[in-house]
Amino acid sequence: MTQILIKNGYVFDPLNNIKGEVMDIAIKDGKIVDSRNLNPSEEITIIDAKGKIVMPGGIDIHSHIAGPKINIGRLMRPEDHYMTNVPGEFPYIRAETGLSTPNVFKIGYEYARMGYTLAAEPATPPVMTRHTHHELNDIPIIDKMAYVIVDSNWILLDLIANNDPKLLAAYLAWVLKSTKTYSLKLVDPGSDFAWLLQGRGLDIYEQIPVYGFTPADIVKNVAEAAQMLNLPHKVHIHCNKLGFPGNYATTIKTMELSSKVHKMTEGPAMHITHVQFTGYKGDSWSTLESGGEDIAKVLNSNPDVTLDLGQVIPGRSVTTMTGDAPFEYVLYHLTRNKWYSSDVETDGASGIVPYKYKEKSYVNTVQWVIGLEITLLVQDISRVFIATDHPNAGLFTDYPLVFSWLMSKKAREETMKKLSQKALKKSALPAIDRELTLYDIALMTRASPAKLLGLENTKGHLGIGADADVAIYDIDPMNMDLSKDYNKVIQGFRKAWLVIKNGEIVVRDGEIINPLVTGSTYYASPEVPVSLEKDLYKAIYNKIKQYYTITYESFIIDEKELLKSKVMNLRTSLG
Amino acid sequence: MPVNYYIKLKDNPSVLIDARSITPDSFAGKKINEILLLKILEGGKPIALQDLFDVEGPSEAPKDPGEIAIIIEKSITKVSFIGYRMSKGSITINGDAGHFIGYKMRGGNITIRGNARNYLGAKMKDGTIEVFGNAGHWIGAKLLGEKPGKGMKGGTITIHGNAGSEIGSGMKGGTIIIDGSAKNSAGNYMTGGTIIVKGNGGLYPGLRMSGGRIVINGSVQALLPSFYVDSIIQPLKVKGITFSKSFMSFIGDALIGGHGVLQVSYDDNKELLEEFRKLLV
Repeated sequence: MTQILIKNGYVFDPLNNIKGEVMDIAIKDGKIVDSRNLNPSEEITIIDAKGKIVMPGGIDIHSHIAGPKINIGRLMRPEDHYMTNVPGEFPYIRAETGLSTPNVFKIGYEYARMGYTLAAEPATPPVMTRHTHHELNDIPIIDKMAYVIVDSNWILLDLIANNDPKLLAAYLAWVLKSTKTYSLKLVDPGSDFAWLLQGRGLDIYEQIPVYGFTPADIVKNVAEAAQMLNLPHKVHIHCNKLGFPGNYATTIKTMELSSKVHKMTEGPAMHITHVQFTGYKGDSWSTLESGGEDIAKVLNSNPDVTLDLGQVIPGRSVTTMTGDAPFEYVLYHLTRNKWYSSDVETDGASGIVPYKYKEKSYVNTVQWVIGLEITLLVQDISRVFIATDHPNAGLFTDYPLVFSWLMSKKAREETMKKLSQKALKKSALPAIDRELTLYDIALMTRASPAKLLGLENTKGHLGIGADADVAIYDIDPMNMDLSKDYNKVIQGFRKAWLVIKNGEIVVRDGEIINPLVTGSTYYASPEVPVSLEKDLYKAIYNKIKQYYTITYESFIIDEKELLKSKVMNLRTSLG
Repeated sequence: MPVNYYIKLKDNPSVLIDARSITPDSFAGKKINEILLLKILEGGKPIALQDLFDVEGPSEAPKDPGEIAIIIEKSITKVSFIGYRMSKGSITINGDAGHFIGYKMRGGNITIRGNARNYLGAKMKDGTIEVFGNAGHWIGAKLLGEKPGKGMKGGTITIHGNAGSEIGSGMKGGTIIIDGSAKNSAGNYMTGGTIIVKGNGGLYPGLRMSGGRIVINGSVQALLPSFYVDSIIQPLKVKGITFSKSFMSFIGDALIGGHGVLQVSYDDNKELLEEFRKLLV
């Protein structure tokens, strides 16, 4: 196996409290080791990272990279692929195409080029997850995982109505195990059911038709089941009323639910995702204002909640795709271009609509402001994660831009010149002076995502025993002012100088040199007592037959269908 | 007085060639050996212009592309993207031409003495294109999947032969004149501009059009039910051309609340248009 020694770099490793110190990192057999353990009689690749920063591989907790909706996005947007084709290189480097709906190879290569080594697909309907895994298998280089959508599926609603928390937890464990997914996702909880029956969405305390309880009950029940199952990443919530002015109140109400969840394990009880889309104040699009300040206040006072941004990139043409069908219906009627709407058996509904964020637009400027405001006003930034909700608000390749806005007031001011001044006048952002440091960026993109996903033993740090996923960027914090030279920061993070995955060098000077490295797919496997499993089998076997087009047996995805998998066995409190 | 550059294929390529560097704009101000080294793509692989073509011309090209005339000999149906984004000057092709000739062109003129393939003058902004033979599908069109109005924005395309389907798809301005016949769905998704077909049109002209004008001086196979009949006109004048026949004028496509004008020869379609004529009385 390869032995690598990285010398002279400025190391940023928040989990081990290393803040830009010059130190050596030794790698052997795909793990970080003490440099004394390298075998001098075998070949050692020495990398001189003088004047460069060394960080653990980046982790993206929310990026739509695989599954049926991505594929339909690719089909319905041929215009997204024009002029983006990069031919492959014989024999191993595959062709790349697409911007907001890239092909699988481009996804893997671009993440690697940015020094990211793990990405999570945040929404896959249970019955469609086999497709998701087939696509994840084809994404090269990076590690990946998927969160399964469990918000409006009929069996779940039946079980909540029966009021048997243990059986519900056993069902969710069965869904995770049989679909080989990592965490639970709630998309606009309860709304899909109302959408399918009545063509409307629901607010958090509105009643779900037929069942009679509210989306808040779904959030509470699933969050409590996640506590029982001891999931590392408990529950990933896309709030109700997403994309409607005035929805910041709904978001705050959802965040407040976390205090009602009965806690059994450590870690934050819930994660609010792409908060930018659910942080709108005002009662119509013309009076829209940022609710960022209010959300930041609630986050500061509530340690049980984490959130990611869904940062909008002005000027970017994107493809919005979400399991929130009522919102896509509204968005289609705003854009009048094309719309895909789908009803995934009894799991929920989804939609896809292309959209462009215009720089001069009042609404789009407010959206841009919200994400940055929240990050810069929050005290504990380890509970805020950088994401563009790729490809909904921006592309994952735009992360370096987001870093530059967070790290440099000058970069924000330059961008603000191009945006709607009317919107900026009403916002707090122009007055904020805070500038984040490289350490903060390492914390937000490496250490805290690893902790959030419960992978802090092997991922997100460079201590001994960690997986050898390392990114080295050509940014010299000693000899340049990061706040002024923000363009160099963007370039540096966009194309990493060197990236190591599984102990192999995969990227050098921003180019892929070793595309044959494959990452693993992580999935959670909570332990369920045999007697409870038997009860569950009795309760759902016939329902699956009745509700789905496939049977109980076909529903289960075999371990063999995953190219390379890593299972997280979890001890639960069900026994 | 323009300077002439003669370009000739050395042998027949078996794959498509992306020759978007053959334009007066990229030749302007270059020495002949620089021109010979311009990059083209053969089946996606980059090669130099001299690998595939002989180029004859003065040793140094004028700085103004308007003074350059490029003359391409032989029939080259595999060579695409000639005249990409050209702003001035002229290109003459003495033979057949490939796909995407004059794609996104901004001015100048292109003459083709043979046939042209698909996407002739697609997304062009200005300038003129004249084809003496037939042309393929999507003349002056947008690309598939793009929004209506992303097609041709200005300029003139004249085809002396016949044209294929979906001509002027998504066009916003400019004029397309077909001396022969056109196939199905002429002017779909168009938002402006004018299409004149002197021969016959195929099925469903003007599908989802929201503006602009389509004139068909021959028979059509079918009309969409989402067009409202407006009047009968005789004679019809369009862009300086006068048709002495009587034309039936429609407004549509009502499917998307459009107000485009579709004018179809009444004399050649009496059977098809009989029901509409009754509505007018």
